[in-house]
Amino acid sequence: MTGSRRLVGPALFGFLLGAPLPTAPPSAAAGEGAPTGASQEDAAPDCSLLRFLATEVHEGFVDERERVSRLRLSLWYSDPGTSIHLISPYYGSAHSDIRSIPRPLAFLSGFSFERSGAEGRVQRLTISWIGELELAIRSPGCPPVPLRCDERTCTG
Amino acid sequence: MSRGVTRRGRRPCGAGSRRNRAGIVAGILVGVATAIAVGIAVGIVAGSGALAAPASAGTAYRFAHPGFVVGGEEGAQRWADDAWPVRYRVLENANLEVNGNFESAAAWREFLEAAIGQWNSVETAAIALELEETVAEQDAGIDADGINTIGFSSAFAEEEIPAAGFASWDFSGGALQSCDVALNPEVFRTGALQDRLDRMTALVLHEVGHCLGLLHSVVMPMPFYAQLTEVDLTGFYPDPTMSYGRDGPFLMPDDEIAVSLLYPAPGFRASTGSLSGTIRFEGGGPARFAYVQAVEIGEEDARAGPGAFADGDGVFRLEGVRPGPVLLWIHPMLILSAHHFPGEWALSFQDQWLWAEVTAGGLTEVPEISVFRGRGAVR
Repeated sequence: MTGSRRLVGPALFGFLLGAPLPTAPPSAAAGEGAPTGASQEDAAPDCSLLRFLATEVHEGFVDERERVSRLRLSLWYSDPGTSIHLISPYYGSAHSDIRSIPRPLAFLSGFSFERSGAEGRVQRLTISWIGELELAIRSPGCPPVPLRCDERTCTG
Repeated sequence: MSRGVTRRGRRPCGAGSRRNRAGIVAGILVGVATAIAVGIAVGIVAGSGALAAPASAGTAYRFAHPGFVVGGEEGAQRWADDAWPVRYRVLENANLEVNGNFESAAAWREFLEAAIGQWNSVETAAIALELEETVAEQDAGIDADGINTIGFSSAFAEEEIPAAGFASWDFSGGALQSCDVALNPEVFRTGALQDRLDRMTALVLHEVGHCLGLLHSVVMPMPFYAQLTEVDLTGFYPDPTMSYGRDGPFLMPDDEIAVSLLYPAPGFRASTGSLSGTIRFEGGGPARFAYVQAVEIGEEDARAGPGAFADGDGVFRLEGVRPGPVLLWIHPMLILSAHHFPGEWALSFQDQWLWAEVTAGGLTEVPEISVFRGRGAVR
């Protein structure tokens, strides 16, 4: 460890996209233990089950030069094909030299994953980044949900 | 490429190589300037486009195959069951005193035993590596005489090989017959003693890994940002490499899984599961040779599980995964030298994270994964 970590917040910020924030995860009482990878192919996707909560945007320093922000992301969904896409930040060159392919500048930690009800899933993770963060949450059959954060706040 | 049924050879890395040897490429570890600066050794598989496509769909792991095909465990180059223990003979070495890294040949031997012992300590793999009491003359290595050797070699200076080390294997009769590990003494002349020792340990682990039948994996998708690990010690720093020593001179979980897949100890397969799926670009077309890294989630920790390249059809299969929820990190191959695949491969698409669940002894089919082109640099 070089330098010192100094939190200068936290500047808390939370919001929810999709349906209102559930007091409990969706379908929590609908029964546990559904088979992994339950098929959604025969039914229209219920996009209302896709929702996420972004909280705890912390601004801090990990050393005297770099400012790192952190976001705790909770995502409720039903389709196992739901995924989070990192759009930025990347660092490095965009040149064609593949050694210079831009690499992610996001750091993941604090993972958890739970089943919730017959088809529900809840995942949580903490994303740290420098500068600005841009994500997209995609679930098959549903419009992508964008998430953009700067050092202090996030918007969807 | 082959000499009868015997396949052996070595080659320095492509950049800067003055040689054009025939034969199957062995692993070479090259310390690049930036890597050395932070105590990292970066492995590079040498080659000149001679590699073929993975042997079968969805098995593009990182095992060596005859002809240096990169593929899964089926048909992989490995030691026969009755080859154990595999014994190594230490090269008699005049460089020890010059370098000042070891005060005696006995200390050097002890160092090698400790490094090799890390492979032996993988509980889920049925392997046994030993050092013989007999030493070999320094020029005795790098051949296919059935005697495995390890040590500093004069070949680097004599043949102007620009590498930190390499493994030279002899594969014939359907199994590995011998493998020599050569280390370049020049690489370990500078730097603090502990740093030199750590780099040497990583190098020995790496080259011995090649001798076990492992090839390189992809380099990590994230920059090294050590400070963040103190912010959250449970943080995941994906390092699906084979003994690159990113986190220190020890094996990574992916290394342990890889060798366990080749030489499974009783119960290993039943206690782990597999994942498979297909990666395609949004709008069509397979994401050829995209990389899938499993992040295994435990009750108190997250660790890098196995990683695998998709094949030319975008099909991947991960084996040896710890049961339970697993985060899949899909990203493009980030460095050419990690592997050489024929034709085009998916280079630029956005990283994405997807959860799946693994059952012991089972195979989980992951829904088709769509990746999106473009990953613009912001710095």
